[in-house]
Amino acid sequence: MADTDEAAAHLPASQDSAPQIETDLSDETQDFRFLNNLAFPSDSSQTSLPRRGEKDFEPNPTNYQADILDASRHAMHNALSHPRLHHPKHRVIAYYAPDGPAPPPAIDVTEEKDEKETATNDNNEHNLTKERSPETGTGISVPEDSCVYVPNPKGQYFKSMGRADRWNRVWLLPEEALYLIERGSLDIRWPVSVTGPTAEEGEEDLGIPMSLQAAYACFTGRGGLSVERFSVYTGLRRLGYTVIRAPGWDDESDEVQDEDSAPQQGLGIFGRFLHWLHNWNKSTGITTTGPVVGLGLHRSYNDIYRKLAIIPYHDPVTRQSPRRKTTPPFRVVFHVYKPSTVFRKSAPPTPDFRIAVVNSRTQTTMPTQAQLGALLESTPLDPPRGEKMDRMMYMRLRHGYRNVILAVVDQGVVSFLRIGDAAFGKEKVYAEKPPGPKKGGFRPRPKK
Amino acid sequence: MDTDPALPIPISYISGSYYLFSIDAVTYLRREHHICGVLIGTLPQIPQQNVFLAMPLQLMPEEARLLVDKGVACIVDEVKAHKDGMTSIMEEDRKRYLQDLEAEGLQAMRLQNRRKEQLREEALKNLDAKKAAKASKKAAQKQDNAAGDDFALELFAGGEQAQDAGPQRPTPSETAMAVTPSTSYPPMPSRPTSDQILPSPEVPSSYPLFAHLHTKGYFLSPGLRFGCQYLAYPGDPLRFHSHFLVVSAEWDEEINLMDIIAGGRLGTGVKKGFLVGGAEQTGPGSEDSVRMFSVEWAGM
Amino acid sequence: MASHPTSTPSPAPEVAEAASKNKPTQDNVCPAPVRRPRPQRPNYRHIHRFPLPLAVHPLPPLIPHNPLSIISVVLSYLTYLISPPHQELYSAYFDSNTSSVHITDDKTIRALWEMGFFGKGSLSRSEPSWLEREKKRRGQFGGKTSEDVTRERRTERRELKLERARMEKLVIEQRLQAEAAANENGNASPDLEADSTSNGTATTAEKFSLRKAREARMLGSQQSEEQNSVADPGNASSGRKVSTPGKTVRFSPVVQEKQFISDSTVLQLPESLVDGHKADEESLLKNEEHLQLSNEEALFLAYGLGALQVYDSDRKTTIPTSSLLTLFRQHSYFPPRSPAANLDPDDPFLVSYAVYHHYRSLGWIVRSGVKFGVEYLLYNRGPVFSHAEFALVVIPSYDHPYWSETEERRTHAEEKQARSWWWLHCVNRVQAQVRKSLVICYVEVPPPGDAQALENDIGALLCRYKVRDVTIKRWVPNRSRD
Repeated sequence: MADTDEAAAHLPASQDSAPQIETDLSDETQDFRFLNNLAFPSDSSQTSLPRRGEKDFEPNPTNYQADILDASRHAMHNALSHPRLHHPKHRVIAYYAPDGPAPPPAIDVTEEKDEKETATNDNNEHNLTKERSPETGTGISVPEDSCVYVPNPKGQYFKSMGRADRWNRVWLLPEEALYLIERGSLDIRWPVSVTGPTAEEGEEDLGIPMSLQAAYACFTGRGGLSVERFSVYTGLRRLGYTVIRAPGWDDESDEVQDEDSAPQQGLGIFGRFLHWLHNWNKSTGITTTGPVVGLGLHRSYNDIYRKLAIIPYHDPVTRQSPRRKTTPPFRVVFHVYKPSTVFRKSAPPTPDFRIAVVNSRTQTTMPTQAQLGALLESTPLDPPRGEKMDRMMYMRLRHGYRNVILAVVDQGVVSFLRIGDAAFGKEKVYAEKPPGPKKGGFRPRPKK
Repeated sequence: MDTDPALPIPISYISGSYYLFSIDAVTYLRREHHICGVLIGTLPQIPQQNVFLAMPLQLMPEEARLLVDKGVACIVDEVKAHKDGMTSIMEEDRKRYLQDLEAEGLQAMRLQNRRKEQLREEALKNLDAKKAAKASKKAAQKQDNAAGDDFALELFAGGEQAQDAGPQRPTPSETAMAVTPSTSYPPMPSRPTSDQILPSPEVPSSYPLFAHLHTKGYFLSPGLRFGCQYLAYPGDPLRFHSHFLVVSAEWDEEINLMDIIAGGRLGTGVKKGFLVGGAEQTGPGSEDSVRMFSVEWAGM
Repeated sequence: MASHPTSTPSPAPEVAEAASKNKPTQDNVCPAPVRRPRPQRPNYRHIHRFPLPLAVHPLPPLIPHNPLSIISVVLSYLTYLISPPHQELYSAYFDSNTSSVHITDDKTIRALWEMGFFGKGSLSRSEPSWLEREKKRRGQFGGKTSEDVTRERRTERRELKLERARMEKLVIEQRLQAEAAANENGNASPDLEADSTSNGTATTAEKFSLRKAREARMLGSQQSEEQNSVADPGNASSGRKVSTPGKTVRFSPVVQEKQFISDSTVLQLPESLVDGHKADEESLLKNEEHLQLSNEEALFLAYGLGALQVYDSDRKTTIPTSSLLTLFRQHSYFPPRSPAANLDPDDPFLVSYAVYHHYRSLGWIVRSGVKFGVEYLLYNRGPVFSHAEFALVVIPSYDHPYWSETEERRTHAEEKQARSWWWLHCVNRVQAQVRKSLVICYVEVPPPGDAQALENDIGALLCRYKVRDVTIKRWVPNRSRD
């Protein structure tokens, strides 16, 4: 019988069963020679990427093998030497602001005061967007972790990134700036205040361009941005997801999920009755030494199973009181939106995914029940409903009542795990209708 | 590719992680010292994917430690180096640096224009051959509209510029491309000062096993995603599949049999060996002796 | 099996299943040679119609409009009163050497297997089928046992591997010679002028031919087996489809798997062939196989269902349920704890039993998952019907304030809860390989409490353990974009 389980690996997946192991091209080192063959594809979308290349089992002393390896390394070297260039037509210039958001230097203090008053009037808009640092002394209201501003924002990125101040400059968070400079879409300049006074006017005003190295030195470690969080951010951005910080980003704040919509599940009258029934059942002594199902006649198997249910289980629908606090790193730090989800910066919709980021080198063990429980409870109830779920028990169980994604980062390699609050206890398998006579048994799909 | 960087190679330490930003260093360490690290940056040529990534290269602390112990590399406090370095750039150096960048940008622009020109000519040839002028015009327009963010796209955009300019004529009025350099050296002085050098990296207890496999010629990479601590490759991962899923254990650690079952099963399922190993602490000053066991699932 | 003439032992039910279900589509796969009819698949729906080894006596339906139905209900009550139906009580004994519970009585073995899939044959992978296999073996092969077949198969596989290695070496040597010759002619590298991808295809071609050789050999050996057995060509070809070409490897589970299937079909021969020998063999053959119950299964049958009584090793005295629990708890340590020692609330047995009981009470067939590196597998209805969808790992949880009161307890809890990330990924990948969903089952461990009182009230003890399950699945961003 156990062989059935072994053989399962070779069978096509049925709709209701778990999908086969996912092969992911990014799982292994790809041969950069394939990149060269592509040259610069006119269509830079996913589809044009190559399938996995041939690899050898082990090194041998042939020149042939050595030459291929050299060619591969050469291709890699070339691909990685490619500079990040900014065509004058599309170039977007930004400035690094080491001290965080500040008003433009041209604006003097008196003027600023007036501006500040108008700013308070403008604030309605900002309040709508859940501003975390509504009012700094400088009269601008952008997240205080921002450290790069774009005076003349153009391009599609600013639809889902950055926050504009009153002077129409867009301020970027460190991860946003780093992501854009890395993909060659942003030309960040050192502020003149850092690199020394300018001798001449004109072009020189731009200051020295910031290198990728400098960007990493300045932006990672800043405002809670660990490189692990950045790896998750940039990996998802590259695939077209919109990723924004969740309220749990900072260690102090915790995401509080308002669950007024969920039914208050205290012990109602019915619940108390059940409780009493349960205790009464216990006091009859049936469970003391068994048999739990009792000695009398059994009218049906469902009765037997109901009597057997003596182990308490966690019900994710009932609200925990008091709500447990999440412990970093098991805390949602990113809200993620699919590329297809319509996203508005000023009013972000309900996220498609919630992600907690873990550095596997500092948090070496997986979460305990308490840690995972608190994390799951910080997410909204998302019960398994829908036409398909109603039909398929396995799918319901896999989906669960709450869910969260753990991104475990091991030295630059990100591994995502979806956690579902399953509650098997809520699915009575014995009450499931056995499949009809035709569907009975184990049936691999007809082979093509 | 064959330009060997000056030793010791500076490894940037930023906020708890180790990086390389120089492609020459990356290529050299891969070739000469079997250190691969993990590329974590976006490839600007094709930024919308995760299969081919680019600089920077993140090094495991184990890798950084190995290189430092070998005397090949040193650890630089990059945050401090930048704080010190950027403020103390001499005006002269600054100017020269900007001029160099401008020259590089100009060169890149010429290259790109030439390339565009070639492509345009090719396209025109194709046009003539196919005599499908209408359809292609539409396509060109569409491309013009789409052009915007990707450098890769730009190369194919066949923009107005190239059409305005006469063939073979390197536009004299062309402006330089702006360049985002990979490293900050130059303009910063190429050798770190002694107060920017950090001590040898701290490593996990699996380091002896890591170092041992490395001396045996294996290339190692982080293995968590694959259910182990390291993947061990018999050669450069560019050309070879890994042979072992490596897990380290303490010498006196009790290993759960179920873990061995799962590991053996996983390894065999992906045609690799599951390798458990660790070092015996044989006393102060003496060499660690590493023992390793390979587990294979017999399946019968 | 012995009691059931219709059932045949089936080490690989999917083979039988695949054959019967595939008949309509067979013709488009390949025009099959004249095929002997396969032995009918046992009627599992009938054999396993009772989910538990307990009898139920449903009342006749009460129809309000029909007074007669009331009479029949009353009648059935009366019959039960006059002659109460007999509930079978099965017997087993505890074997302290294996720390498990054994059953030797054939009828009991069949009953516990068929009604709820309890236990495992001590000489079988799962269902106790040794006797049947042995009969077939002696009847069919006349001295050539399946062990012989296995041995031959292994030798052959080893030879194949050696041959492949030889051929690989040959190719490399040839290339080295060619390169040396080219060097003499002053030609640097004969191969590399070609484009990189064509290099790739060149290597593929070499490996491919190697693979061809192997497959040809294998096909040959399979065909010879097919002459007196009925291997399923559809199955064989699907096995081949799975194998990934190109990569040179030393281990080859695909081959193992495939050959195992053909091996198991050998075991499934028409019974008619065996019949002639049956009479003589039956008298000589004694069933050497036990049904081995895990301690969780035994306690569930005894305490939960009241369907089992467990005897001491001397097989004379029965062990009362509460002592049985204590015994099992002691034996969940290695070496077993002496009766004098205190038992902890987080001893492996209690934690594991709480999980076992919980999922059994929901109607799952719960069986050991040791083959997949997990504690339990959850089957819906049973292993003969489908493969297990869920694989369960059990992790204790120490959320109760008691466990963080002292430094010692904190350390203890930390150690017991700690699971490394690589382990989680490893187990998760193993399940993905066999298409199972990984479930982490956390069991909340209560503080010790009043040991004396709890020892006498199993129900009260178990009620203190709370189960929370979460599903874990690898999330691939590339496939979740929509």
